[in-house]
Amino acid sequence: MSNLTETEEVQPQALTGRRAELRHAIVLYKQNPVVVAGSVIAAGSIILALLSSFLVNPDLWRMEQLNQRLCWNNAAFSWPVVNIFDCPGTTYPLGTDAYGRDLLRMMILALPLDMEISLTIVISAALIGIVLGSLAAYAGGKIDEAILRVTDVFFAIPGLVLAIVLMTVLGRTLENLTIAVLITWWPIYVRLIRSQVLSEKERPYVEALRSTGASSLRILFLHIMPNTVYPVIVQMTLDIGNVILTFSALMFLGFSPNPLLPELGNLVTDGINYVFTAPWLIVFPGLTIVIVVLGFNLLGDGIRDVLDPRLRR
Amino acid sequence: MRLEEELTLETTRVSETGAPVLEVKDLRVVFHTYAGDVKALDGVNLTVRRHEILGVVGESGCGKSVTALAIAGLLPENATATGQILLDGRNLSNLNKEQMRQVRLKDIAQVFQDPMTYLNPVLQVGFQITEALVSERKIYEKQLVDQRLEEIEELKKQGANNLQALERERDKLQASLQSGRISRAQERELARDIALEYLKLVRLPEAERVFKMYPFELSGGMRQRAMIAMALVKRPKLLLADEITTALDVTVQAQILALLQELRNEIDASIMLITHDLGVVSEVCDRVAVMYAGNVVEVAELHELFTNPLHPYTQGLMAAVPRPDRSTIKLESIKGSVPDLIYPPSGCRFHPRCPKAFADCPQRKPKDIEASQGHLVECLLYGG
Repeated sequence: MSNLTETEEVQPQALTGRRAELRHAIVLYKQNPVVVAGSVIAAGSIILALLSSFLVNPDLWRMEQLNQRLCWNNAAFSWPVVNIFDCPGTTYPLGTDAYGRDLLRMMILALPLDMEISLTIVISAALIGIVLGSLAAYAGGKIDEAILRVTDVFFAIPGLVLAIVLMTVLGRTLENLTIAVLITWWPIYVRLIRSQVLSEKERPYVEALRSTGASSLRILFLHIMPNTVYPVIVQMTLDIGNVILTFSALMFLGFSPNPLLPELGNLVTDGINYVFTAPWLIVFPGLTIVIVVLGFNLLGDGIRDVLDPRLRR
Repeated sequence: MRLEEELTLETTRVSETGAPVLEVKDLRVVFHTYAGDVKALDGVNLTVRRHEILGVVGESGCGKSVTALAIAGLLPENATATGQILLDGRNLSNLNKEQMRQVRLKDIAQVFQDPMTYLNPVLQVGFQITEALVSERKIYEKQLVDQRLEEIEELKKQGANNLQALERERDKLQASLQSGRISRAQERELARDIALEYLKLVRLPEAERVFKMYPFELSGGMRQRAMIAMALVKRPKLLLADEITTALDVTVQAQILALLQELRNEIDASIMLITHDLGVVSEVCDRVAVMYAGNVVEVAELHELFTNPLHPYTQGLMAAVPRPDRSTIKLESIKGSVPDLIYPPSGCRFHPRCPKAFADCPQRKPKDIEASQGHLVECLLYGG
C-alpha cells in the first residue's frame, strides 16, 4: 500500500465531483429552452401570487360586491354604469366585467387563491401517499392488498364525477371543494410511492443497512425515502397545474361557493354569460389558466430531465 | 518452492489462537422455491477463533454467502434454517427477530461484495457511518461516551498537543454521563468524532472531507474502505467479509487485504473472509474452510491446507490454480459442474465429480474426520 496510489485515488474525483454534477445539471437545464420557459412562467406566477396583496387590495372584490348590493336599482346612489364591460385597453388594460370590476386586478387576486388551494391539495396528497404508499410497500401482504384495493376504488370512479358527488354531499364551501379534490387526488401518490419503495427496498444498500441492525422504520424513512423523492417532486410539480385545471373545471361547472369569488375558473364561468358582448372576460382568465398550467407542466418535465440520475447519463 | 517458503512465513502469524468466537454446528438451510426445496446448506460446521481470519472458499453457489447470511440472521423469508449458531457461547438460532437485530447492531458486522451498490447513493458517507452508532440511542449513549473517553485517554498518552481541550471535553462528558443523558447534538458530535477515527483507521486520507462526501465522489477502493469503517465502528465481535475484493481491481484488492490484516491486530475482532480466490486466501487467512455444495469438506490451517490438501475437491482446486512456474499448457479443471441442490447427489455430494470415488461414496454421507491436529476433512477416503 504505497501512499502514492492512495493520494492519486482521492484527488481527481473528489475535488470536482459535486461541482461537476451541479455544472452538468445547469448545462442540462440551459440546453432545454422549453424547461427554461416553464420555470420562468412558474416562478413568475408564484411571485405574482405572493405580491398580489401589495398590488391589489385583497378586499376589493368584496367591496365592489358591497357597492353593487347597495347601488343596484337604488335611486339614492348613482352606480358608475360607465365601468361595466369596458373594452380592454381603454381605461383598464384588460377591460371590466358585468359588475364594473377591473379584470386584470381580479385575475391578480385570483392567482394566490388558486396557488394556495393547489399547493394544499398537492402537498397533502403527497404526504398521504408517502405514509400509505411506503407502508403498503414495506409491510406487504394483507396491508399492501388492503391499501391498494382502496386506491383501486378511487381509480375506478372518474375524478371529476367523484368530486362533484362529494361537493353535493358536503356543501359548497371553499374548504369542502379542496377536500373533494384532495380525495380524488391522493391515490396517485400512494401508487407512485409504493412502486418506488418496492424497487428501492430490494437494493443492496438496504441489505447492508439491515446487517448493521437498523430498524425498519429508520431504513424506510431515513434511507429509502430520500431515494424516492425525485419522481414525487416531478409528479407534484405537474400536479400543481393539473389541480388548478380541475379546480377551475369544478368552478366552471357551477360549484363555486360565491359567484363573485376571484378564482380563474369562476371568472371564466362568469364571463361565459357575456361571451358575445365581452369576449375578453373568458379569453384572458382562460388564457391565464392555460399558461400557468403549461408552465408548471413544463417545469415538472424539466425537473425530471435535470434531476433524475437515470435520465442524466 | 518459493510459494512454499512464503507460506511458511505466513503461518508464523498463527500464534495466539484463542477461544472460539463463533461456532456453527450442523447448520442446514433450505430455500423453498416454486421449483422445489433447495438444500443450500447440508450440515455446515465451522469455528472462528478470537483474532483469527478464517477464509471460506468454494465455487459459486456452494453456500458461502448463505452461511454468512444465516449467521447474521438475514436469510430471506422463504428460507428455513436449523442447527446451532453460537456467538460467544450464546445461541443465535433461537433468538427472535428483534433480539437478532440487537445482535446485528452490536456484535456482528458485515461487509459486502460491491461497494458501488451497498452504499446509499443519496446520503453522505459520514451520515451512513454514524448511522450504526446513533440509530439506537439507548444502547449507545453510554457506549459512545465510554468509547470517546477511552480515546481521549489514549490521545493524552500519545502526547496530543491540544491537551487542555481534551481535558475539557472529558470533564464535560463525565458530567453529562453523571447527569444521565446526553443531548442529541452531543451524541451526533460524539458519533462524528468516532467515525472520523475509524475513517483514519481504514487509512482514508482527509477523513474530514470524506465524511461529508457522497458515495459517487469516492472511488471503488475508498468506498470499500468506507464500508469497512461502517462495519467496524460499532466494534463487532465478528466481521463477515463477503467477497469484499471481488469488485475491485488488483492493486486496490491488495491494499484492502493488507488493511484487513492490520485491522485484525488493531481492533478486537475476528474475521470470516468469504472468497472464491485462493490467492486472496493465501494472502491473509490463518485457517481455511473449503466448501462444496453446502458442505464444509475440509478445514485446516493455511499452510497445512496448501501443502497437504486431503479432500479430492481441495486437491482439484489447488491443481486448478494457474502456476506461472509450471509450464503446462492446459489448465487443470474439476470435471462436471456444481450439482442441482434441489436434487443433491446421495451420500457424499462430491462423488459424481470425484476422481477417487468408490462404491461406498453414493451410499454414505461422510463425517468430519480429524486427519491431523486441527485438520478436519469430510471424506470417506480417510475413514469418515
